[in-house]
Amino acid sequence: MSTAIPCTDCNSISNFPSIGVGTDSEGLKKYYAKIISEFRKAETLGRIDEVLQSLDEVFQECSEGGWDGYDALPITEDAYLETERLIKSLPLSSFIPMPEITPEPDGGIGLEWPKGKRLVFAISVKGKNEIVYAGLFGMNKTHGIEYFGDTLPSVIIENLRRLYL
Amino acid sequence: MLSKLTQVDPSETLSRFILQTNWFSTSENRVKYPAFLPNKNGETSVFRISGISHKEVWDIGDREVAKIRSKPILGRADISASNVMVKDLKVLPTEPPIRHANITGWPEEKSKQKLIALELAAEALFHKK
Repeated sequence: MSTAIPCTDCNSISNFPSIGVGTDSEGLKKYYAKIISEFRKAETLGRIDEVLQSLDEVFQECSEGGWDGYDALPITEDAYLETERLIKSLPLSSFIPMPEITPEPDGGIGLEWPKGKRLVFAISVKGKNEIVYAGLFGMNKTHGIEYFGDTLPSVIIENLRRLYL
Repeated sequence: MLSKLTQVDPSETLSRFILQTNWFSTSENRVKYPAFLPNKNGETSVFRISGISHKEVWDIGDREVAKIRSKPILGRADISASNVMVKDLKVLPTEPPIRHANITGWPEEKSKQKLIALELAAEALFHKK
């Protein structure tokens, strides 16, 4: 049987030392946890802002037909607004990175999570309350269409977890 | 020189010219899946590039795609015709221009198209211009 010994010189910034006792220590612990929570929220929101900026750029660049140099349909405002809603509904987790925004030739907007060779998950919307998704997980594959109402369908979150967790 | 009637052999290499900045990643040196998705007519335009040099391939892109579309070629994704055909897609020679072909036979279902495009992108070799 082994005994756990606290490492006193390798504390993570997000871990409050547990050696204190009493109400003051408890108060400080809660205050520290709140600061770390706010810091993490700000970091994640910063990444969401970057993705939303990328979405704006794609919409501006692809709002007229033929933007791909071939015969692509224009990205519509409905697709843009639905993508914005989709991005804001993504889980705020440090394990799941923010997606890359990529326009599709049928006028849809894609969100792609590339993790490696044959490790990728992608979804897209066109402003029709539908999410089209597909993923490669090594030799395993998945694809489908889900209704997109008020919340992100659980199958999308499950596939992101499958890729990253 | 390939004639109009030459069928595409599985051993041939096909090239998809990229004119959209969001369809590739320079840092990861990879093409993204939308580059292979079909257009509204259910076709993905490619060129047959077996047996010619890189310079000749880029020349075809500049002459037959960039000039006509008034947009610069930013890169290209090369893929074996066998990788396309094994997914139940067809590669139909469609000339002119010379060496041009269309990938056809895409499934109707959008999610199946996306899955196939993800696989093609994973199997393709990206060249930045």
